Amino acid sequence: MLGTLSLILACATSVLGFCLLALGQERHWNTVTSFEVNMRKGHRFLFWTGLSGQLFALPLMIYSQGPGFGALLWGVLLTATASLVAFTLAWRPRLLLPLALRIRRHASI
Amino acid sequence: MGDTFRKSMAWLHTWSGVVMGSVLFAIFWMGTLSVFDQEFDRWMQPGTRVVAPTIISLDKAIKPVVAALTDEAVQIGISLPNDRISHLRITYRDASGNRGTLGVDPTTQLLIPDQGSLSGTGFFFPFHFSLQVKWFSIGYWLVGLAGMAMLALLVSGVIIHKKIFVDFFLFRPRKQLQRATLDLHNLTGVLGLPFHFLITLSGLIIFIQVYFPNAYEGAYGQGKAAQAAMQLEATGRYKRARINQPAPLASLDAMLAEAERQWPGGKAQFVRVWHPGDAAGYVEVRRSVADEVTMNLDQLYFDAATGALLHRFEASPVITAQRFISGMHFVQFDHWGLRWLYFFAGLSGCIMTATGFLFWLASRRVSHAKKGLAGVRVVEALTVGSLTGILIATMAFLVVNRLLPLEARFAGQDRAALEVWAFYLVWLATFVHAVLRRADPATKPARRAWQEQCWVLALLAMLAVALNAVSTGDHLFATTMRADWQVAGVDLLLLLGASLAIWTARRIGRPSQLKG
Repeated sequence: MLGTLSLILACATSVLGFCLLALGQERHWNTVTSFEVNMRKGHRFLFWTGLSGQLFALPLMIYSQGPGFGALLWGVLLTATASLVAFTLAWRPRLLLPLALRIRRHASI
Repeated sequence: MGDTFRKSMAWLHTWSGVVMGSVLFAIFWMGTLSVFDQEFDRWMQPGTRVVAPTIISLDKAIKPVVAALTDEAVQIGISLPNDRISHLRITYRDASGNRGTLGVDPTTQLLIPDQGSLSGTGFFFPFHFSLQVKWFSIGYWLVGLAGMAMLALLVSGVIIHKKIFVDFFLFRPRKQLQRATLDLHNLTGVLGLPFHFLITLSGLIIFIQVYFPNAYEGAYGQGKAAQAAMQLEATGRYKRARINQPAPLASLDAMLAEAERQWPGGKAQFVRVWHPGDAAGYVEVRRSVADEVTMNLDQLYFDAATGALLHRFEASPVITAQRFISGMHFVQFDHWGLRWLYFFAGLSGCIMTATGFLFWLASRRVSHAKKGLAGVRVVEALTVGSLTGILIATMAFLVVNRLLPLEARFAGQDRAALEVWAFYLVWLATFVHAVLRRADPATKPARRAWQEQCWVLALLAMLAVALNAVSTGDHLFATTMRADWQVAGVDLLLLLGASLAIWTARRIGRPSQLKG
């Protein structure tokens, strides 16, 4: 049960991390939202938070799947979740709007 | 070559891609299919669609077969059922080196007749690493060359991609097709980079003994004895000669029980009886690789007559590291999530190669036509045949598999060979079609060739699903109801592939698409 939860959490963390990395780029922020922000300040915050999300997913994955499967799954999952975010931005960018609004509210960017 | 480092890398990227792209696409396509090779086996060999019982007695199911083969076989191998295979697969070899295969239903203990098909493990998988060109091992060397080209393409691609971080998530499908194609090429190349790099590198490492046959000499010295010593230390084969005195075979079930006791938490996946019926006969038991990434080499050897344990082998740390890399590439573990991710990552490699070709064609079509060069036309015909052509050939392979009766023979060729002939003849026909349907004038893309091949691809994929339902009664509803996900999965993937091909054909048909 705890293993499955860790797996789900790892996947969610990875997707969220890539969403933050994408929203940290002005081009994608403007695709998702219509309001302007101080991107210079926000970029660094979103970049490091997004990157931390990917790194945090690794121990969760190892806890859930063991070191061999966990590390391998994490590596392949990065490709899958990053692709998911890229295709969301291409076809359904507004799906990321709630996250962008939350970022603007809490990160004061 | 260019006058700057980046230009040189661009030159390397372009020409490595144009020259090796077709081979790379074939390797990636067959590798992607090989992720589900045993599922294709089950689909293409309907006689093996049996249900495995929870507990299997080899003494009941196999000993009669071993007894029947004892006079002719010098070794008899038995692959045990697992989550992906539900029947017992028996392979044997006689004194002259001739090989044979049999199947046994583990529930009824009845022999499954030869299904006459190489299927996934016998055709798709060897094609992936040898291109089925056995003459002087040229296939292995071509694949090795393509692998090196792939590594060069990935590294040079990163160097020439000026905005790799800014364009990390960039994909604009609604832009002009040439722009969307380049976006997709960059996206699959960058996001799939860790997978593509590691899968290529691991593939090269697996065949190190082919590419560097004398590598062992550095540590073991020269000559056959040194090579044998290396093999023994690496793979731990136990051997003893037959003494030509008859002896019965002890209980295989007892040997499997002892193997499970020796490997806490581990299971056996393969049993081989050496010198069956001989007093010096012995039984090799190999541990399953389903529960870990590393393809372990754990083996136990039992005396065939008494069942006593003779020898135990576990690989050294260096070989274990090599086996981890092999396991990472071969995907023999039992992890469906990873298996599907590998499948999609493999497809992304196919898309990356295909979009690279398409971008090259689009960016040079007009300039080549103005200069009167035939390069684009030649490459486009080769590209059509290499991309949609091999997909059509694969579908034809499946369709012919469902059309040929079990006893089919023609011109001295057995059923399995006829399937392979169909694959190659259809593939050749797609190249001919691509040449005949070339664009006129040369400034236009070969729209008709692409579109017609997409329609044929969709039709063949749907026909394969229909023929599977008609010839076996295992239509999608039936396989889904009885949770036969291997067969249902292949059918569903074929239908999904057909839908994508139809979508592509219709999109190519729109006048605004495929602009240079």
